[in-house]
Amino acid sequence: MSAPLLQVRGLRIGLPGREDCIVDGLDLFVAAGESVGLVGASGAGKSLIARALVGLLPSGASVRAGSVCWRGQVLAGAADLQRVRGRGIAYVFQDAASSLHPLRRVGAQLRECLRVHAPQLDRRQMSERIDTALAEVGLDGARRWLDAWPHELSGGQRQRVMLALTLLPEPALLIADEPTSALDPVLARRVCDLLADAARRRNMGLLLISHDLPRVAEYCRRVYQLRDGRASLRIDDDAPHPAAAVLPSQTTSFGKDACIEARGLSLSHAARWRWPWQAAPAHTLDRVSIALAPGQRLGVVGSSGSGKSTLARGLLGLMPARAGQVRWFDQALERLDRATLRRWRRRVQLVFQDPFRSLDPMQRVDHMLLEALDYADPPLPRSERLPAMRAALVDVGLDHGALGRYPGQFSGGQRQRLAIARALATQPQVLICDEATSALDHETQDQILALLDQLARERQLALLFISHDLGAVARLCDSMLVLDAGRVVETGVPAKLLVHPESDALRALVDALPRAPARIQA
Amino acid sequence: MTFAERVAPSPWRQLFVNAAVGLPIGLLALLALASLLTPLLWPYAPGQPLWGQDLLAPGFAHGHWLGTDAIGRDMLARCMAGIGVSLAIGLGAGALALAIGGIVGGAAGYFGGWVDELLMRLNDLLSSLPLMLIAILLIALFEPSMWLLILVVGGFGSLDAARILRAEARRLRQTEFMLASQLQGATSFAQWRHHLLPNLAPVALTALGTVVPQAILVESFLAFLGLGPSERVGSLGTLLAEGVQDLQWAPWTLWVPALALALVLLGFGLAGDALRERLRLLTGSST
Repeated sequence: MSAPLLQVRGLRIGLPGREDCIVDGLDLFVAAGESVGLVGASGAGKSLIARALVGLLPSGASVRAGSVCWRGQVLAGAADLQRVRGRGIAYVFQDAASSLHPLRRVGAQLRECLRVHAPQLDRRQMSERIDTALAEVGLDGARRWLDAWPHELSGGQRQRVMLALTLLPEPALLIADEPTSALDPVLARRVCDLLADAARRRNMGLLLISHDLPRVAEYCRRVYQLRDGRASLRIDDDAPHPAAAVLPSQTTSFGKDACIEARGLSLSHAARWRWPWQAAPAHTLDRVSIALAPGQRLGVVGSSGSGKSTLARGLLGLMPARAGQVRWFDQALERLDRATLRRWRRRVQLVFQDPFRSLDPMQRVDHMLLEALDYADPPLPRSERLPAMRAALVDVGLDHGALGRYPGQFSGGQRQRLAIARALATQPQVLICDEATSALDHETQDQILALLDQLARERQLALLFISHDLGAVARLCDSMLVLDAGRVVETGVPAKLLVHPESDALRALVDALPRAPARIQA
Repeated sequence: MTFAERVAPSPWRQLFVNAAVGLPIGLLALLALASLLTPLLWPYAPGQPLWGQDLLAPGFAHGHWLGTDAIGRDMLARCMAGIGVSLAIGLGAGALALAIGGIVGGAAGYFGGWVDELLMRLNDLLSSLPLMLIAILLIALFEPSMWLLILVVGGFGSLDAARILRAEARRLRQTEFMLASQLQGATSFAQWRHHLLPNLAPVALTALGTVVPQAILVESFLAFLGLGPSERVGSLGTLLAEGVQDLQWAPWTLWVPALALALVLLGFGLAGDALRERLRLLTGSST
């Protein structure tokens, strides 16, 4: 066998002030024209590896041992890397939106790339190459895109421009670092399809890095799993389509004894005041009605921008209603005075998407729980606080050894458990989860979902689970509501809806599920 | 899940317990300690003129290791006392600057809106006044003392501190953990106590790295002009002013306190830089 395109041997990457290595002896290879996946939990060092391969480690991090071979030759030193970057190895960053130059038109950026990597082309050849590249990523009518500024493009369009930009020099290997994590599932599928198409057509190697194992497994022949700084090969296996694995569950009726309710709720981010000749702005959320009784679980799905998070904010009383009302425990929210609202807040709790941002980095876990217990009503006597804190941790599957630690000392999944523990410490009756599992890797998602399921059952919580992950909603919720452009387009039992989606919005979401030839083995 | 294994240090430990931050802070602590212990261990008092021992060059033979000045006062004793005065003024002014700046900047960033506008425009207005002239005027009006100096220099330092801390408070206000606390029913006071102040503290300490040396420099400059504290023992600035007069025949009376001043400023500068770098690594932000 000839030398693979890229071969990594015993790569070790360390961060300053830490003895141990984040990446500790990584071996992997990518052959020409092959698609390879690298999956791992958040914080496992995926991005560090990607950056190390092109010599762009963030300041402080350093390669401590190991080698990276490109077409059989060890890459060492800046000159080698400079030669390989672009035409050899291209790199798609996680956040395409910030990788484009904000002050230059798309066309100028594409031309600059060609001038650097293919100076022999004349103007006509250049614009032909650019037109082809744009068409390849699905941006037809190249003229229009060339004159656009980055801020005029949507997130998905920017991601595609970025992709066109990396494909222009015709690289032999494309490293895509979480290319879809900022996109909603429908867009994510399109971008992945594009990547796979481009790789196939150009016989280009593809290293796809993600936390989303099923998605990677769909596109890649080999998938490495990163754990404890090492990569192991996950063996292929057949796994069922997530939608098919959905269990049927019983329907629950709306309306009676609702502890949280929205009646014809409309919300808008636009300014309330406008000139008389201006058209009324579209509402972000348009006449949405929901009601949740104790023990009921409602899933809210929709692609990004459909108003899911806005609904959560509205229900929490963080945005004033433009029309309709929000009712907590049969009281209209806007009729509550400030002090009462503050006292009632503990009954309706929110779990955020990103546990890396929702926990105070300077607050020790015991202080965090103490603060939450402070808001309980009636207040807990001092002697019962320590047992209560321990119980709160045990309930979410953590040991009370966690009490003396800071959030920075936990993994993503553990942090989300802490966030749930904090939310539950005030003994709420309603729990709203806003994409509570989507920042986590696949296995952790499973664990958190199981935890939420168990806690909601034990405590008879009214659960509002907002997600774009249909599998999670189907698993956790007994009814489901589909939002599209701020309107409710479909409601019903998840199992039924997922098999026979009526609305276009839901159909697009179902189509975007990873069709798993997912040869995933636990 | 159990947590018997490796426990990472707290954010505070990560910030302070490392060589880059620890060494300069250790140097400063050593200087402060030396300044405190000198009266006990050194036979000569800083303000005591010794007849017949004036203008001795540094050396070990006559017992005055760093020499004496024009009226026979021991330079080592004076220098150590000066370091003490300078450190006290610098740290006092720094603490005052952080206290005022923390409250003003914190309130402006946390409440936003018209509170922010009012406080920050006021800040702009005061910042546009010439610090030195105002300081000289105030000291000329009142009896120059250490407390007045701390008040003036700290007051001016608080303008910068308020600006830095306002930006940080504004960022913190938007964070999800602040929202989480609000959603649990926290009052503004509880949010300040539990989240805002602890998260402002590291940034404030980093700001100390610029405020304190600035305060020490301003104080030295004023003392150099003869507007130093009227206490019997002078600050390093007083020593410099006197040293300049004897520069031609006793250069050590200038360079000994100059070196001491440089050492103090270097300590604060290095500590501040290292803290800022550690903070950047810890929070991943570029403050």
